[in-house]
Amino acid sequence: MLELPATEQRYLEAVETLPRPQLLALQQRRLLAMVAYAYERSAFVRHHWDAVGLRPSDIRSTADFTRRVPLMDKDQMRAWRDTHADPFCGLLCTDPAEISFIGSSSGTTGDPTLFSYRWGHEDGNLPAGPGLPADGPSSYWGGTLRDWWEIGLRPGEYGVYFGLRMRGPMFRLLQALGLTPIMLGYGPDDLHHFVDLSRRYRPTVFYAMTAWLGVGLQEIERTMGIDMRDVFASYKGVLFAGEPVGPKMRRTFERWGLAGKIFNQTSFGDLGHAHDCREHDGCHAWEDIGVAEIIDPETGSPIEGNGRGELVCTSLVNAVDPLLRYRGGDIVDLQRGACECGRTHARFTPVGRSADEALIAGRSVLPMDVWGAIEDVPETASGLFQIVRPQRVLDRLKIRVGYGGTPELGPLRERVAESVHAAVGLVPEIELVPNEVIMQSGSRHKIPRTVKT
Amino acid sequence: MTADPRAPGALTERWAIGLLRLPGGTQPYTVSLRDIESDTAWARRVFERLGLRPGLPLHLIGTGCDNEILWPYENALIGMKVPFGVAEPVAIDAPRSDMFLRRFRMQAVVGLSGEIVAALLALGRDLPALLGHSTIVALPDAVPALRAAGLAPWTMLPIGPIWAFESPVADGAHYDQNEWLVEEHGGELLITSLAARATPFVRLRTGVRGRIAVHGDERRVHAD
Repeated sequence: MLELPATEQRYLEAVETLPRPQLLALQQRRLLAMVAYAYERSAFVRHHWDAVGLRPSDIRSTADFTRRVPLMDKDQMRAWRDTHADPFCGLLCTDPAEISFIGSSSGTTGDPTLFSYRWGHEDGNLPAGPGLPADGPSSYWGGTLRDWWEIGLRPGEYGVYFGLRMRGPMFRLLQALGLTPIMLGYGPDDLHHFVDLSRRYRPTVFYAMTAWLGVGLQEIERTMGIDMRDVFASYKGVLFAGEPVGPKMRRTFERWGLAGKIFNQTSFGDLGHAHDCREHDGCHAWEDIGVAEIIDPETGSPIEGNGRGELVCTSLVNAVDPLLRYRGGDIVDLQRGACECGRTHARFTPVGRSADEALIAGRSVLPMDVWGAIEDVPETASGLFQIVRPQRVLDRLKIRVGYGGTPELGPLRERVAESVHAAVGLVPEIELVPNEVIMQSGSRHKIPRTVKT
Repeated sequence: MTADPRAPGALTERWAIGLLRLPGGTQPYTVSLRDIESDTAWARRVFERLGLRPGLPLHLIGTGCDNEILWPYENALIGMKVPFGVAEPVAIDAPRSDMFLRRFRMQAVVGLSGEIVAALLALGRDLPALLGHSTIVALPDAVPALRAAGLAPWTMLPIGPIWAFESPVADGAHYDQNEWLVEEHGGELLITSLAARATPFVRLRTGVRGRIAVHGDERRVHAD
């Protein structure tokens, strides 16, 4: 049973502000236990460590771990899955029969990969602790409860839940904090219900906002004259998950009274989730839950201290299918040290994905570099676009851009090209398609921002 | 302070707000913890009738906006120690169902929709090879294509806030008669809550066409 602190307390758990030496000692203690545990049980880990002659006894510190343990990535996991006909990619440390819930990744780059949970109680009504050690965090999506408490969510409130199910029943987390979830979906009428229900129940959080839903709300505002400031008056946070909010969409939400209340939920290297706090200075990488490193994406060499690099994560509390030194392709700016909010854990700001970077005429272009330029054109303000990237090095920047309505395509193509040119200094080739075509290329909360063709 | 939904407090009375999708409109409704526990007990009886066994995987297809209806079924599977992998019942998520069906030998597939079946066929999948070893529980719009492929699915019939289940021999769909009364009026099914649910319904029009047949002391639904 989760014990919540007093309502006025900012922190959910004492570990959030643990002095850094104690935090790193806790992290190392858990890491050394995980090293032995995973090597003994995970066929994938054992195979790759044996290949370089590494044994758990060789790892006596976090520094040993980051220096000696081989990196792992999704391609290796998929290769293991296909070679061994093992859907769990050789990572499972428990009997498959013990699993309760089998979640899966978004599948934007191939067959989704799996992550699984055991439930804490047989009747399933209690959400705490499947697979987590007794002294671990009180959430099966490591850290999420802390992050939602930080937004200011408190018992007795309501939370709007536009959630997909592939990551599990995350509405249970709202309930764990004492909030009543309002279940909505992606049907054509659901945004209208969102407006009505927000006025009726005055919820405090929206999970999870997407560019597509934002465009729908703008349309309701425009065509029905709804005052969105009133609709969002009670909200303490609107969470974007899967994708960050684009710059123009952010300005729209700020116009609706949500300045400072837009939160980014991103992947903590597939160990769980990371959120920014109310200081909005990076997403907290909870270091009692995982080890966060950055490496040079080309060489794989560790980068010490703060800086930009590819995020590498290790799970400390996942007893079911832990990832050890997993590189997920996310390029981040990492800061180690205390945040203005008082928490002592590392935090990171996603910059892009290494697999999304295109090099054109020696210039690096990531989707975020052109996002705002596309949003600035009214007919393409939904920000639905994909960079066509058959390989990393390209002769020309080509972007497939979604549009709404029935505009004249020739002039629109020129305006979008001019806007992108002004943003990145490259003259792009623009392919225009209806928004729906882009939406059909991914799940409803996330589309691939680069495509091969 | 505790957030345990079993404890006295707001969540006991209002565990979730759902959106009931009915002909002519939708309406929000509240479910309580009592409702969830009662529905979980019913879901367990459904799964026992399907012959589910612990430890063997199941593919559960359902949509997040139906969580207040779906969760009791997930809750029952957790209690029965049946591992389950999830996907949404729409074509855009069909690759996920395809992955689960190719990579696992599922003891059952529950909630299979017409969109998913059509998408699997569009991918060139052999339905008997993917599903022939599984107990299939399909939405009505998926049943014809499955039967055409030589499969014998159960039918999962949504009736307002509940699901009713009919065996492959099509002898009428069972529903939870401890909680609900389903009647027919002018060829349309109406639903009334019998138990002390958070949101009572009295002869709620569901838009589902069908009739009621009495089998001994049991009422079963025959959808048109």
